[in-house]
Amino acid sequence: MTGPPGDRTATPTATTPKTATASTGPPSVGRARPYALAPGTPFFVLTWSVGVGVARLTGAAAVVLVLATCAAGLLVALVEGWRAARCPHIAAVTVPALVTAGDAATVSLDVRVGARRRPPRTCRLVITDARSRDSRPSDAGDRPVIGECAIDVGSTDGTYTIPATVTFRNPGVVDTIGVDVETGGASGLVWWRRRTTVAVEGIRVAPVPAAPVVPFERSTTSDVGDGSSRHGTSSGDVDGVRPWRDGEGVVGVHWPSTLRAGSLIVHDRNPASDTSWVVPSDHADVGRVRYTLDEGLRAGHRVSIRSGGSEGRATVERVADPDDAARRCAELADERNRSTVPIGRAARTRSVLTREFHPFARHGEAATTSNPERTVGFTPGARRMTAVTSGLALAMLVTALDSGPTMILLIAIGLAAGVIVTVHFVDEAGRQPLVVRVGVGVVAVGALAFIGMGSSGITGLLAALRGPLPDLLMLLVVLHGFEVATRRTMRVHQAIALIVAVYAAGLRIDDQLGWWLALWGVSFVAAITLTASGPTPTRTGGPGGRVRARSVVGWTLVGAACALAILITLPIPDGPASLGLPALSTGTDVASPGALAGPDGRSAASTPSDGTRGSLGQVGGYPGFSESLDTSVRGDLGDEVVMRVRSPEPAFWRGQTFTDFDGRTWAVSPETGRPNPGPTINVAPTLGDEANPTLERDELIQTYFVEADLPNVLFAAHRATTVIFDGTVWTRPDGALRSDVTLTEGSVYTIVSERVRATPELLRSQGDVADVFAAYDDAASQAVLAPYLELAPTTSQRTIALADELNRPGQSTYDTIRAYEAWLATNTTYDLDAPVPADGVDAVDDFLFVSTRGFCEQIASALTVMLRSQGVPARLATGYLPGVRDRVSGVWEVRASDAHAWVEVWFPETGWEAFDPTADVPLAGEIEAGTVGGDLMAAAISGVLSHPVEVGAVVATGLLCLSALRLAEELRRRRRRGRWGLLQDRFDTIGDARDVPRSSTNPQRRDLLRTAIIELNPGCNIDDDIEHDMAMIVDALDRAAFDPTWAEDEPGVRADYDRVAAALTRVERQLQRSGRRARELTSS
Amino acid sequence: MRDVAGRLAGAIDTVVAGKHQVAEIAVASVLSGGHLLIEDVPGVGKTLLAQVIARAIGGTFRRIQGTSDLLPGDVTGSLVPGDDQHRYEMRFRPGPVFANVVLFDELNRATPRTQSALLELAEERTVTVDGQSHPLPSPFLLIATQNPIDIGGTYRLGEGSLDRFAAVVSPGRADPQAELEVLTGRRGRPMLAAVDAVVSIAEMRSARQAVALVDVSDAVASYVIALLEATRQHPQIRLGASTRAGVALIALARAIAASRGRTYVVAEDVAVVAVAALAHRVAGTGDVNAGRALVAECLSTVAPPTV
Repeated sequence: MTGPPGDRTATPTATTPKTATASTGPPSVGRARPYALAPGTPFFVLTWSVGVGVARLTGAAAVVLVLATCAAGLLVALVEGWRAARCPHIAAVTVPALVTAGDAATVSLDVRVGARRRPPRTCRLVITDARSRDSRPSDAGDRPVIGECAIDVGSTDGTYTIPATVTFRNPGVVDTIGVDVETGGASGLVWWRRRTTVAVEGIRVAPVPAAPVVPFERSTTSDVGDGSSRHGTSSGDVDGVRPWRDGEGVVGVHWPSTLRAGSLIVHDRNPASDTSWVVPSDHADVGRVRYTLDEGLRAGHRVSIRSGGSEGRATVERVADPDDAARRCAELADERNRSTVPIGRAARTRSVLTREFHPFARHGEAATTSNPERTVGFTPGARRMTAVTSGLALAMLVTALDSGPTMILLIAIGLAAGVIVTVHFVDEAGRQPLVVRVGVGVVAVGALAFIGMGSSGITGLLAALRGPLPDLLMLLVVLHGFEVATRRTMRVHQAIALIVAVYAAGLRIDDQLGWWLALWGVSFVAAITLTASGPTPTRTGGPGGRVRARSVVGWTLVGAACALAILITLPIPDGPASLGLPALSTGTDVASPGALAGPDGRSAASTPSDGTRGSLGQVGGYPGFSESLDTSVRGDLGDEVVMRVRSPEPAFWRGQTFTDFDGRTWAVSPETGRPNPGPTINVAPTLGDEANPTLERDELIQTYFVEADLPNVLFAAHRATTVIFDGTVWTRPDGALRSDVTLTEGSVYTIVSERVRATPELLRSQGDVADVFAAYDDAASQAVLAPYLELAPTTSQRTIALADELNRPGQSTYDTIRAYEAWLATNTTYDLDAPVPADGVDAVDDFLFVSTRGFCEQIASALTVMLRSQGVPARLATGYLPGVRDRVSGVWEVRASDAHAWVEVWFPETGWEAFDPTADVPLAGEIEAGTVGGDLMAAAISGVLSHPVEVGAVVATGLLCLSALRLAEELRRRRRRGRWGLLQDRFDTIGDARDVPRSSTNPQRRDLLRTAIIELNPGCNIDDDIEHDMAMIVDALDRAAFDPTWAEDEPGVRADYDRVAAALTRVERQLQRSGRRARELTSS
Repeated sequence: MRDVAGRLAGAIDTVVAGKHQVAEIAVASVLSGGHLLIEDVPGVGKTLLAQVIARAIGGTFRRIQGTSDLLPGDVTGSLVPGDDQHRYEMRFRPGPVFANVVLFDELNRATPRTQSALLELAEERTVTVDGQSHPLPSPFLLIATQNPIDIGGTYRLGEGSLDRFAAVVSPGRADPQAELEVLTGRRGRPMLAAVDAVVSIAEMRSARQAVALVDVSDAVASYVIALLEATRQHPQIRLGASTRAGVALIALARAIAASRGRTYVVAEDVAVVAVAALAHRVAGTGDVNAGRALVAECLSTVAPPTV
């Protein structure tokens, strides 16, 4: 305790003794609150909202899927971070009793994580000086942080004792220590903070001693002094001894003898302990008070401190040693603190996210103060995974645009180059080499200029949209890869990858999209977590990777469940595919406008009625799409995909309607209707479309992606109101649509349809339609209705008789239709190879009563004729069935075999209503709207149920792979540990099962095991053999571990090994037996 | 070698009841060539333990009682006028430290001057008086006792002084069985007379050589380093154990290994002596009892090496 005051750093321990005190009370634990976002996180939110826009523009279910999964992922990340912040529990804090302000001191934290858990990688402990006596505000924004540390030290059972270096800045008495657990969880995006406040026995934070001394009183009790207690007076001239220096009490010079001897004679006849210093405590600078006390003590004087301002109440207390002086000065400083700052100001302010929220500022800066992650660097692994993520997203886009493998290769090279540059050539400040920065800039500007110059005029713009613009997007993403220098820019890059992926998901309509998205999602999550974790601290001990793997699987399952829950509530989106690529009319112009033309552009002749079948692509390929329809001929229906329809709900995609029937052949009305120039065409309602305006109706938006060369027939569900098509569309009187060009593969058009929500009740309530129409007895009405009631002259009486018979008096038309459908279902069979009726025979009669076999045209024709015979207006419609819905992209895949014919019946209130007598679907519009998640669930369940063997095989393969991995790990461990290492592990396992601490040496382990055996068998002495066995095991293991002369391949050692292994087995058995016996004893 | 240790420990056990572990460490400290400090409250057999060790070892034995007026010269020996023939010559009269075994009772009652003189010569194994060096007999063994509770009239040993002792042992109170044997006279001071010198000086020398030849593997050395590091990281320890403490610890562990009949040190040997070897070298407050608890705590945080 005698170091010179100015040289405190040389002997730090001398001025900061560490009489450690532990926490005095149970820690009070606050709630976990979010307090900051990791840099770059707002960009995810930004791109997510852009994704919502994409979903609205495309109506793509896949986009909704991505967005909902992202939202669920964010939710799960939030909860996970919250859980992670609650996981480390501060059990106790050991603090020094006395420190000097500004000096480093050690605080020991007892942290309990739980035996089967691991603290999150992003977790750290921030120690704050939350002194409660000092009324300094201690809110989260302006926390007096004194130190922080990570939980990365070795551990055995989930309890960590972590030393943290802290520096108290302000003198005073600290009786409360705040320990903030701060973590971003595995995702590291949202940071949580949970404060634990621990009351400690006051830590005296002494002020730094500051020269010079304060004025003090000095007195000498020595008999050799003159007794004057004035500061600076000499001790006494009586015996000729004077102080050597002013204030110097130890040594004095005896001048008379000095004079006699001629050399300096020093006496210490005035012992320093006889001099007492009384230092007043009211000096403004407490540091100077401490310095003065230290000076006095150093010189060996009796030093006292006078506290209390006025003379009357002043108390003078002896200061024992420098520690005591420091303590008193700390208390003095504490009093000052309390008197200067009003208590009421210690209002706690809430910690809010916005306080440290700088999403866009500080770009490229190592802004570690507001950055919850503290560091801006990243690992090469995270960078590579980010590149993989953006690469996958770009590949999704490239394949959607059919750009080919060259483009993918170029992108891969560009991304890899970006990784190499950003991992290897970025300097300390996070800047790339000048060449790279200039190069990136030049390429970006050049590409923009190229686009700008090339895309003049509408044609140029369209061409740019189809070609260079997406290419530019890809180029910019690749170039951004060169800019990734910090974690923040890396997150921005990931957010860009999210946008690209969402864009691609909106564009793509193929059935591989689900796999692409799954792959991309995995890499996206991996990239985010790798970015968050940063350089992994080396950890020893603690539960291993299995715990982490389990938690990863657990959280993934929670996330999937969460996403599914969100998705189940989300309806399948509807929206125009206006973000889809513009449909360029590459088809051939049709010769006669408004007429039907095949893909070659030639007008169609009527269907051959000789029974031969055309192929797809020919005008007569499917008779429903020609000018006439011979009920005895059916086209050769292939299985190729004709078109994909993006629509929230299934419907019949109607192409044409037929009104005129001559007993064998239906013919289209010859009127071609009016031409309407595109791209947006409003279709006026046609005859029979005008329903009761009071009825509820809704909109159904469908986008047709043509996948095969087709005739110029535009399909539509229900009643088309708006057509978006790049070309002229002829709207025919029956509502059918024809374009002026043929529809080639890649053509896209969007139809907005209106439909009346028809229910059986609504239809039934309209009664017998025939009666309603019979009331329209004026000539004009009759003329309008006549075509739909006209029967072919060949219609047989028995057909009409059957229709009459089933139409009971007073029965509503709806019920009549159902009765006809029921009759058809029972008395006829569906058969694609129905025999062709003989020449001149009425096809309907032949189907109903002769062959009783038929396909959709014949069944629908029969229903139409039967309805017409009852005075109900009806017509035949042809088109496609909805097809099969892809669960991820949400498009309906329509194949050639889905071509169909059905019946439309005119109801006075609701207009044309479709009925399909072929299928069991009673009413076309009756299908309920689904949800994205419901569809996925149904698909998953039906997939599992329909492929039990395959699913089982996949699960089994997964399990096999897992066990193979574990086996490999075990084999690696065995090789690493060696034979004797494995014996040691066995021995350790026996001990671990009986709670032998891991810090025991082998003999201690043996002793504890012996105790365990005796405890298990009370009253029994331990077997001599077991005792001998255990001794042998311990000796051999220690010998193997520590004896340098020990060699494993000696024959004697090998024999030893067998003996030890056998002994170990005996000990294991003995312990098992004892345990069993003990259990029996307790149970009986 | 094992035999030597066994005989010494046996001799201690016949006199001091129920203190086999302390006896083992004491013997190890003797065999490692280090000095031993026995520290405990009065009446638990400190002096008896020291005496029995001294008696069990053959060779010369001296005893010094520490008092506050004991001067360094009283310990080391001093220059005295010569005999009748050489009346005017100053002759060195060797002090009580010139013996193979020196028992210094109540070390903390001696003044710091005497303490440091004693401990310095114990370290150097040489007495220098008036420029003349007088080597102490070999082997030289210092066994000191002190009472940590008695504060009045004592001078606490400084950290540097404590560091000179290889081990500090504290016998502690005997258990009832051992107390019964002492009270009935089957053990304890009456038995002291029955102890003969069981180990000769030559045997001691060869035993010490054998101890020095015990192998220390890197694993054990790393374990010791981990222990030292643990004491340095411990928040309640002001100054962790030094490298010299590690050297002393290894030396003691060697002796334990040898006395257990091994030619190599195992982790257990280190664990057995760690508290005795480090307790007085870590706390820095001179309170060895506190140091013991802290070192035990450090010991429980470091996992010992295995195969």
